[in-house]
Parts: sequence; C-alpha cells; structure tokens
Amino acid sequence: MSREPVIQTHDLTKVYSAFMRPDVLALDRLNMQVGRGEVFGLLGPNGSGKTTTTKLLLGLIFPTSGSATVLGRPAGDIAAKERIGFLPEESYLYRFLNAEETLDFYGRLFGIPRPTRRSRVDELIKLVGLEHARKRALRGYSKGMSRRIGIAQALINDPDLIFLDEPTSGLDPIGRREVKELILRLKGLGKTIMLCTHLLPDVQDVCDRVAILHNGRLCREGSLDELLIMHQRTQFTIDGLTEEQQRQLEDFLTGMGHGEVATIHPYDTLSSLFMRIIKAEKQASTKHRQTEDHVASEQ
Amino acid sequence: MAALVMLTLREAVRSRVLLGMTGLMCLFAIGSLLWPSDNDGQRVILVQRHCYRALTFFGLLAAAFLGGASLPREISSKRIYSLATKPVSRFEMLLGRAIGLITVMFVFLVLGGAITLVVTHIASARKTYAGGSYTAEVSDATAKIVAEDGSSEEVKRGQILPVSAKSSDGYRVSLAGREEEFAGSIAARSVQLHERSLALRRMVKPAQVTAVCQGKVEVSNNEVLLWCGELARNHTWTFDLRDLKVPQLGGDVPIRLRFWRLQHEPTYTDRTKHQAPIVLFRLRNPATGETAHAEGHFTYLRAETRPVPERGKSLDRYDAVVAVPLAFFQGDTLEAVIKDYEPKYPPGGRVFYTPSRTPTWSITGIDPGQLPEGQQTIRAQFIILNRRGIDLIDHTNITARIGNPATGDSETYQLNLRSQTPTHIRFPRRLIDDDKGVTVTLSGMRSTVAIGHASNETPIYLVRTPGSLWGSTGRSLALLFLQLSLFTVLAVAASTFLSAKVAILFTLVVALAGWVKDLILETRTAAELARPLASEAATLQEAAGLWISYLLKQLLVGLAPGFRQFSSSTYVSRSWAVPWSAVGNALSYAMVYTLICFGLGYLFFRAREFE
Repeated sequence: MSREPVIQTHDLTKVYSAFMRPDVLALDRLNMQVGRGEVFGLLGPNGSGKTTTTKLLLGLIFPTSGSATVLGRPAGDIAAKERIGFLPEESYLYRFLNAEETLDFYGRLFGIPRPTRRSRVDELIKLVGLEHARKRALRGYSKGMSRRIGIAQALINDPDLIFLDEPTSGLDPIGRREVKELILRLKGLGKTIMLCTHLLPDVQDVCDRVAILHNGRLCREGSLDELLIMHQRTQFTIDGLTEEQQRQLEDFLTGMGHGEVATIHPYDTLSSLFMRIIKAEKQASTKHRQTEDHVASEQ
Repeated sequence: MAALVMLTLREAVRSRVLLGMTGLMCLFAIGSLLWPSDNDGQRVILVQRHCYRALTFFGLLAAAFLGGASLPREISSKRIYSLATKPVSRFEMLLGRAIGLITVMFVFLVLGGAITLVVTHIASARKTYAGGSYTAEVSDATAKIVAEDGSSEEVKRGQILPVSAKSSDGYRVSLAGREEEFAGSIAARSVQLHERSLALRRMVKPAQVTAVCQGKVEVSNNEVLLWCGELARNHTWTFDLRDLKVPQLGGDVPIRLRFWRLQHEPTYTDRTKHQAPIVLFRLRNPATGETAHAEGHFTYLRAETRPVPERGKSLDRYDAVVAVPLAFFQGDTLEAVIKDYEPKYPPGGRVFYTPSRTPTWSITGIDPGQLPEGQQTIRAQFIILNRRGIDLIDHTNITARIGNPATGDSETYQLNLRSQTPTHIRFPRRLIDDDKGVTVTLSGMRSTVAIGHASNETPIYLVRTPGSLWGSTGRSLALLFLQLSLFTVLAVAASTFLSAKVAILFTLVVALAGWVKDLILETRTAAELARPLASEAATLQEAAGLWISYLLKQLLVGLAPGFRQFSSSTYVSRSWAVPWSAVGNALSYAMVYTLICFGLGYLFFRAREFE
C-alpha cells in the first residue's frame, strides 16, 4: 500500500474478561493499514472481530495489548475524533429529537458554528432524502429512515475518515444503491472509508481493499483486484452467436488443449433487474400522467 | 458540553418527567390547603412546610431516578456509541449529564417554588368562611341556632351540629343557667355542645379560637383566670375589676392565664411540642389609657390532659401567672391583649434593631420612680435550638451603650449573650430620663441576628431577622436546590459503575441513611442536653474507650449526606427568614460532597468500556 496510512494497527489485541467467566480473545495481534482515500472493507463472519476492531479504533473500548493510530493520533484521541464520522451498526439516536435537532445536536458536539451548522443540516437532510420528515421525532421513523439519519449524523462534521458499520442494513434496494453511490461520491472527495458489512456484493461494488477476519485473526488483506482476479480462467462475452457458431467456437477452444470449456448464458443481477423495472414503472407513470394532463387540457 | 446540558433538559421535558413531577407537586401543594390549622399564620406555615417537603420528596425521587438511570440507559441503548465517538471527553460527557440533570432540578424547583408562592398566597388570603350570620341560643338541654333570615335549628346537648356559616356578631349561648358571649366570627364544620362549653370540631379556624377565648373570665382567690381554648393573637379580654380584690398596699396583681394546646400541633417540631410557650400581653387601662406589656411564661402541666376525640388528639394544659402593675388597676375595667406568642421562643415581629437598621432605639414608659436606684435591668436573651441545631450560634458578644437622651450621659457595657440565658445589665438611675426614658445602642451584632425589646421590664431579645416571603422562599429553594444537586451528582456518580436499578436503589438508600443519621444525631443531642452535667465526665471516659465505634460513626456521618444542612423547615415553622449563613453552610457542604462524588464517578467512567 503506497498511500499515506490513516489507520494503523500494531499487534492490536483485545481480550474480554468477565467475572466468573472464561476470557474471550476477540482480536488477536491485528496488523493492518488503511491508506488515505481508500474504501476499506472489513469482512468476516459474526464474532470474527470486526466490531471489536472498529470500537478499538474509535476508543469505545481499550486494547489489551498492542496499539492503534487513527489519523496519526492514538485511537480514541479527541483531536482525531473531530475528523471522524461513525455510523454504528444500528442508528442509536435520541428518539425524542427530530431530524433537524439530531443533526444540530451532533453538530454542536463538534463545535460547528450555528450558521454553518444550519446549512450543513439542510444539506445532509436533503442528501439522505428526509426533507419530508425533518420535523418528525425519530420515534416515528422507519428503520430505513433511521438509517438515513444515522448516515447524516456520521457526515455532520464533513469527516476525513468515516466508519460505516453495515451502512445498507434496513434499506431497500434503492436506498442501498444510493448509499453505495454516496460512498463512491465520498471516495471521490478524498475521504477514507472503513466499511464493515456482511453484504459481500456491497463490498465488491465499492471497496478498494479488504481485510478478512476470522476468530479475531486477520486471514487475508489486499486490494479486490489482487484477491479476486482468477488468472487461470478467461471469460468471453459475445452477443448474437448462433448455435452453430457457438459449437464451432467450443470445438476450436477444445482443440487448443485447454481442457474444460464451458458455455454459459449470463444472468442479469436481481439488483439491476429490480432497478430497471422500477425505473421503467416510474417513466411509464410519468408518461401516463402527462397523457392524462394533455387529454384533460384538450377537453 | 452545553449541547449535552440542553439535550438532558430537552429529554426531561419531552419525556414528560418534569411535567409529571410538577403535576404531583401541584397536587400535593393544593392538598396542603385542605390541611386543618388553627390560625392564619399556622396555615401559611403549614402550607409552606408541606410544599417544601413535597419538593424535597419528589425532587429526591427525581434525582435518584433520573440521575441513576441517565448514563446506564445511554449505554444500554447504545446511544453512547454515537456520543463517545464525537470529540467529547469522558469528563465532559459526565459533567454535561450532571449539569443537565441539575438544570432539570433547577427548573423543577422554579416551577415548584412558583406553586408554593401561589398556594401560600391563597392560604394567607383564606381568613373567613362565607355564609350568613347565626345566633345560637342554648338552653339547659337544647340549643337553638337562629339565622339572620329567621330560620333556626335546634340541637340537643352532645349532638354534632353542622354549621356552615359564620357569625359576625357573635353567639350567645346559655348553658346550665350561665349565659356566655361568643363574639367574633365563628365557623366550623360542626359544633358540639358540652356541659359548659362549645367544642369545635375539625377545621377550627382562628376566628373560632377567638370566640372560645372570649368571656371566659373567672375571678377567684384574687386571681383573674382567663380560660383560653387556644391562644389567638390580638384578642382582647375585658376584665371587670369590681370582682377583683386589689391589694391595698401596692405591689403587682397576679393574673393567672391558662390555655390548652393540642399535642403535636402540626406546626411545632417534635423538639418544641412540650416546651412552654411565651406569650406577650399588652395591658391597657381604658380609664387612663395607660398601656404596658406583660410576658407570661407558661408552665406545661402534663397531668392536665384532655382527650379531644373529634380531632383524635389531646389537649395539654398550660398555666402562667402574669404580674400586672397596680398602677393599671384604676377604674373598673382592664383590657388584656395577646400581642404575640411563640412556642418557647420570644415573640417575633417586634424587632427594633437589625444590622441593616439603626442599632439605637429609645425605650420610654419606664417608671423609674417605682424602682430603687440601680434596679433598672436589661435582660437579654437570644434564640438557639440546641448545641447542634440549625441555629449554630450559641453565644455572641455585643456592646450595649445605655444613654440618657436628655443629658447625653451614657455607659457602655460588654455583653456575652448565651443561648437561652437571660443577660442582665444593671445601670445607674441617672441614665434614665423621667420623660424620655433611656436610649440603648447596640453594636457588634452578627448579620443574622437582630434585637428586639418587649416590655416595661425592658427585656431585650435576639431574634431572627424577619425576612420577606420572596427572600425566604428564595433561600429555602436555594437550600433545596443544593440538596437535590448533591443527590443528583451522587446518583450520576453511582451510575458510572452500577446498573440503573442498583444506582437508583443506592441513591435512595444513601438518602435514607442521611435522614436516619440526622435523626440519630438529633436524638443524641436531645439526650446530651438532658443529661446532668455531673455524669458528663463519666460519659466522656466511656466514649474514650469506644473510640473505634466513634470513628465508625463519624465515617457514617461523613458518608451519608445529611438533610439537616438543607432543611428550611426550622425557619419556616417560626416564620424566620432563612439566613444567608445557612445557605453558605449548605453550599460548602454540597460542594465538597459533590466534588468528591463527581471525582470518584469520573475515575470509574474514564476507565469504562462501551462494549
């Protein structure tokens, strides 16, 4: 990794101790780096140490041994937190506040001046699509809406480093797509993003590098290209082949001595299909409304 | 941190905790208006004390529940994740929460204080009952009460008679051939006729007390017996001196006063319930217009106790003999007015000197001709509850300058005034002018005390500076605020290492322990005061042998925050202003305790992990 490291861990270890219970090794000598401007995916099954790593980096818990630096400062440092945004796994927010008040509250914690805070709140509410519910108390929000306001609060300080824990959970496909687009947009702005998620397609869509944890140990780390590329396999995608042409191509490739040759008709992804249908429906309904308006105006 | 303070306040408002607390306080305050009381002053005091108790009670509950649950709820709901990852230190988080909750307490006290003032105002305005006038005529066996409109009601002796109106002109009651006047307004839920008297049931009003006192004059054995149901301020008796054998050779005429007082009267604290009151009379001779003051120290006679089944209590009898100068017995009648009375203590409201006013006053009306040279005395006395009581002053030094206003001649005396101990100054006759009397100038007073004088004997009392309702209420609320702040911080500190339920329980137990501790200290003080001096040496030796026990007790005393420092009831029950010194003491106590609690809480919170 050639970029300037934003997150660095050195033998970071966490053991949970409890009275009358055996100790649990949650993280075992983790060494990793996240470079500036990267979208870094932290992957692993439940109990693999993803959340523990995030909490250690954010200073919510303290390491048993080892060390970690975030934005050049020790993990949990107040000065570093001023440049960090964090979206927890679920949006744990104050349910008696409305969207505006929530963002204003978190903005005040960052010491953002009032005029800046106001414009920032408006901007973020618009960004996450909650203009219609900006005055509604969060107790009346759906899970998806809570997630959106959670994302907004994580961005209130225009952070350099953003921790996103399952950012697309609870969102519908449109929302997921929007969040992924938002991540890519933030990446384009030079933000560093650390993404913890179970949803591997999301990771694949947005991440530059990933680390895979299992039982608190780092199993693999690297860029997606490095990890996913299958140098021994080649895939052609050709439109409009007849069966005859297809058979001839297979015979040709088999004759070159490369062993098994498979012919596959590729499936579209459900996500793309869903998006296409919704888009078409929207267009149709718009056209229908325009037609009705036209007829009405003629009558 | 300001954001956290505002968030906490907003949470208390929106979760309706503040509303609930204030609503309960309001109900309690309104309920206190229904509490029976025997006169206007007592009713006001009762209402104030009940309101303050309600504020303390609900405030403590709120402090325990809000303070104990605030942080644990933040952690269990995982909202702490969003908070702790912001640039807010643990110290700011804890302090913000604590100050936020203290602000909630402040708002609650402001609202509660406003309710208290309103209710106090209502209580002080309630003086009479509405309704028509009745005249009661009572024969040997029955009584007839005739209303002004002509309607009448007959009742038999012993029957409970509902009376829903007042009489402004008075009752005339004939019982067993003896006719008695009951002047003034009277109102009661019911009246019970007895052999020789009217007994007023519950909800007795001051006007009734006046009525019961009226006319009950008996003359026997050269004594005038005032047969008082209960004392009422500013009530006038008129004596017929023809019934009295006035000594021909000079000297004072003893007038025996007697009254009955309910045991455990609600406005008296336990400390004073059996202590004899001091009653101040003003005597006036209508023929000459002369007036004088007399002070009656009543003696409590426990053997004379009457049950009052209607009120579920008993009456204690108090007796006093007041010496009336012979000079007043010229003419046919003599008036006596109860100017003021206080349980045990000298009368309030007659303050001649406070530090903010002139320390000089003139005493006239002294008749030095009747007294030999050097027998004019100033008797000084000031108030204290006990050696460990609220009033921490047990002695004070003052300088008194006695001067003749006509000649300018004066003498200065250093006085060391001690609690409950009259101090006498003997000064030469030349300092008294026959016309202008004597001028007394005091200096060296503490800011929280004041001096008044009361009678022709020129006694000087140190009494509390009377304060305005606003000022006293404000300082009472300040004491309450300090107490609630302390317990709030205690609860918050406990919640840094305990779960919400345990932290709440812990806070309530500590509050209870503080209350019990005060009770123990109070009892011990009373026992110590009652203990003869001779046995003190032996007690001290015994205490020396039990030093470990002593240290443990002191530890308990130190750990459990007491209530005594924050209590204003002692002042309120006597209509005294809460002194600034009490607020200062409470402030220093609360600050020390709060800082220790907060410091310990922070140490725990700093090391806490949010898993």
